[in-house]
Amino acid sequence: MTRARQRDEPSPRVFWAGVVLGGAVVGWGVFGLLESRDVSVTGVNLRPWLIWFLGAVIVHDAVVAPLVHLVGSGVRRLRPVALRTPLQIGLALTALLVLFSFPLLRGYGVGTQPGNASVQPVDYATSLLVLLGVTWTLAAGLAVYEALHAKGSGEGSNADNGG
Amino acid sequence: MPPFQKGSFRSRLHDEGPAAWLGIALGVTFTICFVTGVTSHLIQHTTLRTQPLFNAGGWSLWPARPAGLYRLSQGLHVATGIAAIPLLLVKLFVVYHHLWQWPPVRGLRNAVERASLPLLVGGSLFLLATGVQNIFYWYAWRFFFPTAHYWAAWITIGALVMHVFAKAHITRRVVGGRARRREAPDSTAGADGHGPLTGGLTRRSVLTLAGGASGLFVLSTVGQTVAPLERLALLAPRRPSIGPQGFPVNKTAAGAGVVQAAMDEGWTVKIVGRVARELELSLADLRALRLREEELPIACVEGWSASVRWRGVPIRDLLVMAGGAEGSRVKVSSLQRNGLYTSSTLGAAHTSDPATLLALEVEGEPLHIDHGFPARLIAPNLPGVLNTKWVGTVEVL
Repeated sequence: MTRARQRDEPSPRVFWAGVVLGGAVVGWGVFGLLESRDVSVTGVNLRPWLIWFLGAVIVHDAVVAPLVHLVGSGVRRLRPVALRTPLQIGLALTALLVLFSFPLLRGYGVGTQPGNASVQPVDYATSLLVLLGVTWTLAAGLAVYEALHAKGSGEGSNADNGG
Repeated sequence: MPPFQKGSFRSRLHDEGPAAWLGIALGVTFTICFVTGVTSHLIQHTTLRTQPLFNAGGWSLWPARPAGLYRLSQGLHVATGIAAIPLLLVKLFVVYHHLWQWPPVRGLRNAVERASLPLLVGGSLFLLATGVQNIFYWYAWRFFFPTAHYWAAWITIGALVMHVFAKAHITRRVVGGRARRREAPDSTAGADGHGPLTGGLTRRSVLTLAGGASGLFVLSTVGQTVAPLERLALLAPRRPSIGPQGFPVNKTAAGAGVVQAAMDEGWTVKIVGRVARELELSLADLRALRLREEELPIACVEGWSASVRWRGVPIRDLLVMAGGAEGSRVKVSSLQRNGLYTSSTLGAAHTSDPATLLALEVEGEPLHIDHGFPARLIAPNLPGVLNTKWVGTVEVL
């Protein structure tokens, strides 16, 4: 255990047990996927499946994450310092809420069920505005609190030595 | 040459503390999603060729009671999936710097672990993205959602098992309060993570952010199944009280192509199969029978549900009338010709439960055509789509 901690690695026994156990489950999943590839209606076309599966990783790692890091490092350079946390929170929640509600705003899926008024029955634009309103009100409140707090505790001036 | 110089990822949030706590939260949500999802899949997709192990019909062990079990199970599936969205995205942010570790591989174990990560990350993103799209009915792909989602879940959970074993020592360290702190060149946060808030999010507040966002997501959607929270369901794709007769419709009569057959005045339901005498009953015949009233949830795989008062003839009574054996399995078929869910096979648990109805009325009115007029199946603890609408035949097996 001590040696494992020094090397910052799990003990080989634990690690390989996980590989065998998890690998078997992954294998079952791959087997099932391949089994269902030729089934007509209820099957899985492998090509679009793979595009979505691997595409998700690539879009996240090559586009979304760098963008978030870029914005994040911009915010960490910002003055006054008291704005940084509120902005980070506001921006993160805004991005998450917009991401989730985007299909609802566009009405994607409504066309699948023509004439079914119980599908997506909410005015989602108003919903999003309400949630963003709550988010930015909270963020503004936090900014005021932080500004007052920073003054009281000696400016927190040492917190901004880089980005 | 390493793609990034040492110290390029300056945020103190790139740290094993938040990574481990978020990992625990994701482990819990993904496990709940997996268990509830596999359960639902096995109940709904018993006849798919893609179920080599479960085709034997073992699913008929699924009980009729408690009546709201499926509603709870599937409500949890969708709610925990939605809760996992912010948790996963924040987690991926926190550990992103590991993607660029240099050298890219440090020994065999590290290589194996890194090779499993695209399965874990891709699978997690795939499951959450396709799951959300499915509850929105937004099919932006060319594969059958249930099968694709189901097998991706096995792959993801397998990769998660590997990951949990590979990171167990770090989780133990963090939970035990012995986390190693990265140097955080952009802040003066104390080694305990309680640095001045002025430097931006701390290791602790990023967890509050992830948890808060997760809570907000759940709160703004879970009202699609938890009726008292309906007014807060700002981003829910369904509202339990919106639809004809006060609850949602999954498939309309027009969409199923049954309007003409269902509105036919000569409509009858046929009781056939292993019975002493086959029956053919008109709507008037059915109404003349002893009707039973039951409050039962209609709970959809997409995570919405509504509790409704139904009135109809117990399937058990029809069995007795036709001289079928008590506890027989029964196949209830719709007038709907095309589609995957045009019939539902009930096991003994359901056919012997008096609350399993051939329903004629809802909330004191004849069924709306989109709810299955002239007659539909409604049974306790059965996924919504298996409560066959526009019933034409009841076959005793």
